[in-house]
Amino acid sequence: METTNKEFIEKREAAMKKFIAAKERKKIRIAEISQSLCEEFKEQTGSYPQNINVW
Amino acid sequence: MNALSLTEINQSSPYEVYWHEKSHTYRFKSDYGVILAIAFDEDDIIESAKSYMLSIINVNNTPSPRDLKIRDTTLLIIEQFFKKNQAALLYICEGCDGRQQMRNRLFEFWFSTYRMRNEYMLMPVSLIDMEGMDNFAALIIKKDNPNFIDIVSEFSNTIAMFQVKPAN
Repeated sequence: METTNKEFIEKREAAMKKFIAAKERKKIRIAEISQSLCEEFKEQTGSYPQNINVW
Repeated sequence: MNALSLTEINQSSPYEVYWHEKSHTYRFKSDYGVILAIAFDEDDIIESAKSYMLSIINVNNTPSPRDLKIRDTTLLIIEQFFKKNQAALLYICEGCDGRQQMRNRLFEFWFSTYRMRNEYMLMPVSLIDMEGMDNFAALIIKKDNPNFIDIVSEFSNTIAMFQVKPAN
């Protein structure tokens, strides 16, 4: 029973770490996209956007 | 990832969709000056099949009125993604503030009004990670995906693991 619980804790931790790593990747990607979107907006309107909305 | 067909999207899209090479995003501009970008980035968060992370960002200077053409264009891009790729799509929203939560609900609402919603499964969940952060996540998958059962089981099991606190 103890082994089962240990296995579960390990699996859960691994899944959590994977999820957090995915979130980090997304955060970096969002920053990249936001920057290029702002540049494109400026090219088209002459000014940077006031609102950046992440879904 | 298999590239989406802009020709097919633009045949029925209310807004003209274009590919932004530098950022690898699909983009369009609305009648109200909103520029919206959509990215599909390969991720290994689901092991039983190919999976991609969905990111949607828009920029503007003034909030626009409810624009159903944005909904229709966004859903057409996602529809085209699934047409070209037999994969699972994951959406993660970290530490959503009130506005992001509102957008998540709006996205779920969009999906509920989507004419082909019966062909897809949208599984929204909220979960607290090991950093104590409240997160919103969703799995979007086409029901005819050959790995449908494996993907949904893996996603459900992972979420269940997050929600169960192990005994010490």
